[in-house]
Amino acid sequence: MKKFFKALSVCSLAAAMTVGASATAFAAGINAAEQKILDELNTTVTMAGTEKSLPVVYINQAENYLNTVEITDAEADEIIKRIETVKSYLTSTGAAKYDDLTDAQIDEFFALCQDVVSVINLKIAYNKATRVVTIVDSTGAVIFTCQIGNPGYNPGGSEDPGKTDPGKTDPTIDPNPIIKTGFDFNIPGVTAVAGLGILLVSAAGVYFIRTKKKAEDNA
Amino acid sequence: MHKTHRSRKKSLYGKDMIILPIVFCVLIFLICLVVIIPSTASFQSTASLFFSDREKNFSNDYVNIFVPVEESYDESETSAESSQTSKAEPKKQETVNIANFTFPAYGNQFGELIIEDCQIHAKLFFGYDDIALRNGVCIYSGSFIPGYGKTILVAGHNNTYFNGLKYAQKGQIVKIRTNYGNYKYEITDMQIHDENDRSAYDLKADSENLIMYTCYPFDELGLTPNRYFVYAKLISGPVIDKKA
Repeated sequence: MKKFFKALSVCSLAAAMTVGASATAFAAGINAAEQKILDELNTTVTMAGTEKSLPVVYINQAENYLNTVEITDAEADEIIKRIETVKSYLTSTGAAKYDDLTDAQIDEFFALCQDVVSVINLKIAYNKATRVVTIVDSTGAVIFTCQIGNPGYNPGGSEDPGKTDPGKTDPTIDPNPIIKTGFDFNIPGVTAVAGLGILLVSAAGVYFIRTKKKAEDNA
Repeated sequence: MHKTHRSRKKSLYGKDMIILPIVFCVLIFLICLVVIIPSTASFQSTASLFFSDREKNFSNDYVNIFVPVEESYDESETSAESSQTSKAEPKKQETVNIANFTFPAYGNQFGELIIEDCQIHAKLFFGYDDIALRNGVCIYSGSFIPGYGKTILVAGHNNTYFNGLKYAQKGQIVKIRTNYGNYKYEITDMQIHDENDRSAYDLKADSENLIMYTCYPFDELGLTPNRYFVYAKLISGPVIDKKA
């Protein structure tokens, strides 16, 4: 359920961002149109007979993004209309969680999301293998990314994708915003470098022993 | 004599040639892991460019919108003259209209965070990001910026910019300078929580509160399941007028 809502959150956020990105780059505050979008994001969707709401962190992110753009009433109305379409589709699938969706339903779901964001030239990319969802603006700049099932996902960072999945323990709570802030190094990289070091040291050791043996043999 | 020579040869190609190198390698590996690696971050970064199976951003390019505004909190909060003035006449809450400054976008550096008692002086970014964490501390984009009247959740690495949080004490002052105003917070508490403990923060709060966190224990190599949280309350700084 958590993953499902994660995806829904992404789409809703995408919708908000879509509307925002079509506007002028300089804008500030939450106008009435933007507030309508935030209100829409605060509504619930019926999933397998249960009313579910979006995690507050995604609504917060939408609010922060909307503070950077300017949205008109017409744009907001279109976005809201398309978000409703996405919600209706999710309800119609009968799925209770993301993993319940078939591949075809997932494709349709993200196609509908793309419809939402395409209003203002945003694009959604979804990698089925990694479950990473990325939204980029018309310049190609990433404005949002997350990993379904891994709310704490930090793209390319010191995260441990796949390990952090609070949704496994409680699907009704918000995504975990706490990231890994320990010593920042890439474990595969370190392992590879260490392995290379070992190889060199081993070669040096073998060379040393052979040299010693030759010296002994000559003696 | 011949037997002794064969025995030595066997030893060279058996015990000496296999066991000793393995032991040697293990020792070197441990030395690398414990001693050398922590001091070779740049080398690791370079190496991981070639060996990592995950996309990683090694760029140091980021947008800096931070233009310090005139210091006002120190004078207004600490001077005796100001104190006397405030007794005579209630101080009007300072505000800053959201239309009058550039709202930070994801990845922007828009300020700096200073805790003098903890020897912390870090650039402040909006949004979790590799570049941000490498160059300073960052506000979670699902929380809010200073002055917004809600929760500000700030993360930083425990071996760099937030290493000084281990010196945090109640009553210490946290200064946040931004491109729209200067803020002062007072540390109220320090707590250790599991990384998945949601009682450590409240992102729905309707009152301004600053939460800084980093991995715990401090100075420990690798990733840890615990976080060290430092909580602070707002003392001064302009309230953001959100009306567009």
